[in-house]
Amino acid sequence: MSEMATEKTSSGIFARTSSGLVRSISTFDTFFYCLVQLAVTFGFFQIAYWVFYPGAQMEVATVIAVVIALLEGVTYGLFTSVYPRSGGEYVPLSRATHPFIGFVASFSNTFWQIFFTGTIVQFGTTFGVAPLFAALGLQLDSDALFNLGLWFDTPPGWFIFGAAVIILFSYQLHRGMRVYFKVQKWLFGLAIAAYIVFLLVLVLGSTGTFSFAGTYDEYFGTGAYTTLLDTARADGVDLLPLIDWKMTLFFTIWPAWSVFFAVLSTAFSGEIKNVTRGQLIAIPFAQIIGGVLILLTGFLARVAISQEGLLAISWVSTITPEKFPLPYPWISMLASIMANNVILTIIINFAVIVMTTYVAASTAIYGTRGLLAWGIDGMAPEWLGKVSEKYRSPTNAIIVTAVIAIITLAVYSFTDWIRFLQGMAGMGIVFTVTIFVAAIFPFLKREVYEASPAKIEIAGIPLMTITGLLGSIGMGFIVYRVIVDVDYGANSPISMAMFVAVFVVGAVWYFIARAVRRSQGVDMDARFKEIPIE
Amino acid sequence: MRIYYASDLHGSEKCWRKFLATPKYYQVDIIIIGGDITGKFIVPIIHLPNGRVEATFMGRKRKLKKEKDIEALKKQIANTGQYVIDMTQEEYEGYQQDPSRLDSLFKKLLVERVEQWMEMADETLRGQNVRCFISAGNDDIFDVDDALAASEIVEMHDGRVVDLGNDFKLLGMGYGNITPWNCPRDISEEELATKIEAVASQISNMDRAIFDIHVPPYDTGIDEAPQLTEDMKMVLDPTGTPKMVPVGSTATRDAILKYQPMLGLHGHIHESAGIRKLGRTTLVNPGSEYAECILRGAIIDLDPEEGLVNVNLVTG
Repeated sequence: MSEMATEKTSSGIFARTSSGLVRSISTFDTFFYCLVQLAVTFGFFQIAYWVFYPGAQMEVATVIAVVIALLEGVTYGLFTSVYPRSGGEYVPLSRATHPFIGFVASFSNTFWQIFFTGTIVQFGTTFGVAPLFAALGLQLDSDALFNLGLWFDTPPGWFIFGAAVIILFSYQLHRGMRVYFKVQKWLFGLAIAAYIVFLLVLVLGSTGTFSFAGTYDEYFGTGAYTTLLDTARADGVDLLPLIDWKMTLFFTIWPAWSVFFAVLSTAFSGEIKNVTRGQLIAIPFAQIIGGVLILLTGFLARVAISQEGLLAISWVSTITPEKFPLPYPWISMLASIMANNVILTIIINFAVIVMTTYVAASTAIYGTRGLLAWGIDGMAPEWLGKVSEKYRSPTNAIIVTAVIAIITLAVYSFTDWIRFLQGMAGMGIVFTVTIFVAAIFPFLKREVYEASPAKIEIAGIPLMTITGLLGSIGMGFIVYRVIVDVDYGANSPISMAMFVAVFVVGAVWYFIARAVRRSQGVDMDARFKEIPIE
Repeated sequence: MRIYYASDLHGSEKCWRKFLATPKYYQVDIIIIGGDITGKFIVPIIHLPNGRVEATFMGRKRKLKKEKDIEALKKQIANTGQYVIDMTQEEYEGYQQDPSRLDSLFKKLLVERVEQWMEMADETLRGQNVRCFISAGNDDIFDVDDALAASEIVEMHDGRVVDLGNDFKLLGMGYGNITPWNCPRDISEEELATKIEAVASQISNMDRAIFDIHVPPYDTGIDEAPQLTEDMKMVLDPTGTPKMVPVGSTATRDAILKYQPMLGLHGHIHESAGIRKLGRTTLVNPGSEYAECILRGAIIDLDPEEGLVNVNLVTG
């Protein structure tokens, strides 16, 4: 007679003690990792390029972006709860539609994740490392530090620093990320605290405790700040434009990308399913917090520097950079100048460097994971799925990821062929398709939906249908604007060609892999075909 | 010869019916389940005085009145591997206050379902030229063994070596190494090694041997499960996904390395699907997504001359 340990659970079911029953990932942990992946510092772009959308309300645009992101986040949270062990878009899309769609979506996202690995590190260099040294150079009257800051924001600086970080990430991945994992939580917590200090610096600027104009004149001569404003006005820039709601809507594409990335956190639940917590709360909550941080950054920047100052700096530094004495217009640089304090400068830029670098680290891991999954699944050469016997890490996938990331970084750094933001269109299409499929999933796979934790309805309509349809409209608008917006800079002929090429390559890859596997006696289409039962 | 292998159905009615459909669907000669056939949860269908019923399923409380909706819910519950029991509010509260009473309830429901499955197997597979092997796994209570043995068609290969024809031999071992949950058939690595040795030593030609050992070999990539804290929480990696660590059996690993059979078939770790090599032995773990009613399996092609020709992971 066997003994069996049984227990009631608080969730209205009875469970017997059996292997695999674990506690689900806590809502806070899910929230934390969503927040890590939110590119809050991408908000610096919107502040720097705001001038090209006369009359746009940054804060309103951020709220609109967060609303769309919430629709995306809730939809993703529900959809991935249906197949919680699978993660990403590949398996849910393959099962709901066809493996071709799942693979092409996965291919596109994986490619752009790898692309972003290098370019986001460059981003951290541009927004954090370069301003750090340049500002310190000014504050400590050190040409060496100032020039070092300048160097970091040059193509050689981007490439060398970016490649070094890619290699470091790759090595850490190969070794199992132990060191990285040990420091991540407290280091990111420290970075959040430092970012709050950064916001406080802006608050002090808005109250007059710090004066950007005053410090700017100290460094660059009396009247230098006024000259900046006059230069922009002379070019016809309206530094106090009236509110323009159309421009506000167009401007939404800038804050959007900061909050859309939260869904990259892979869903994984235990066998006691409870979707009312976990990703359904954590993802949207993280998006709201991220949105608040971005909104506050924009608002406080506008008040601290002044709207006229921000717009003038953006204009002059972009159109006639020779008339702008600072190397870059990023708010991290401006806040550092305004604070005019070495410690505060270090804190501000520490936050930016860490928060941005963590996004890059996540993209490295996701890129590797995508390649590994294909290798195991037979959609890529088997050697891609091989793991190191010593460290149990997917060494070959890591190497391939690193090589692709370095190549794309080199092209990005030394040519004008590709722009950082163009990856947004590629990933945006995948997000849009995924949440659209999620919207119709309850009707495509009724039985699966009914038996899943995602069966939440409002007035009889599946919640994922409501959020998915609204979200895909919103996200579709964002993707459309990314493609057509000249000021966004992601629609050069080569950028668009690359955007299309990634999908085409993914499609071709699918058919080649399928043909190769078929010749080996493996029917790839059958992998996801449900067995019919009477 | 073509074999279909699956494991860890954990009571899923839908996966079981899919399993019985695999001989025709995949054109296979032999179908095997490598253990863990019983489920883990009971969903009480609580009948309220007002004629409605309440049940918590997939984390959500469902309130139903219509008989057809109730039956549909019961079917969904069973499809995902859970067991259903009708009870009153008082009975439910009685079980809540005294969980030890659940022991006998679980036994009854687990055995009942296995008995039903054996009847289905006999009815479905009769007349088909297919052999069906089922082993219990570490999660399965011993009470189900009699239910398995009662089938006319199903053969139990746990703790035995069976002849598949053409010199191919199948070894079954459903016991597992000690887990944090102390499951019914968890035993020490030493005991497991002894049990494996007792059956493996009966096979003379390892080039045609298939070891169906429920727990995969330690540190082979198909035995990775989430690392757990002492209070059974998953440890997370830098992206917020569970940190995976090897939890397989050293006894299995040592046996595979010693005997180098042609093929190792394993289950137990649902998250660790894959095909690996350990020396000359090909290892397969098809994984499990029983709770989503997805039957994960492996199609294995064998040839009397060549031995193992192909292994293909499928989901159905």
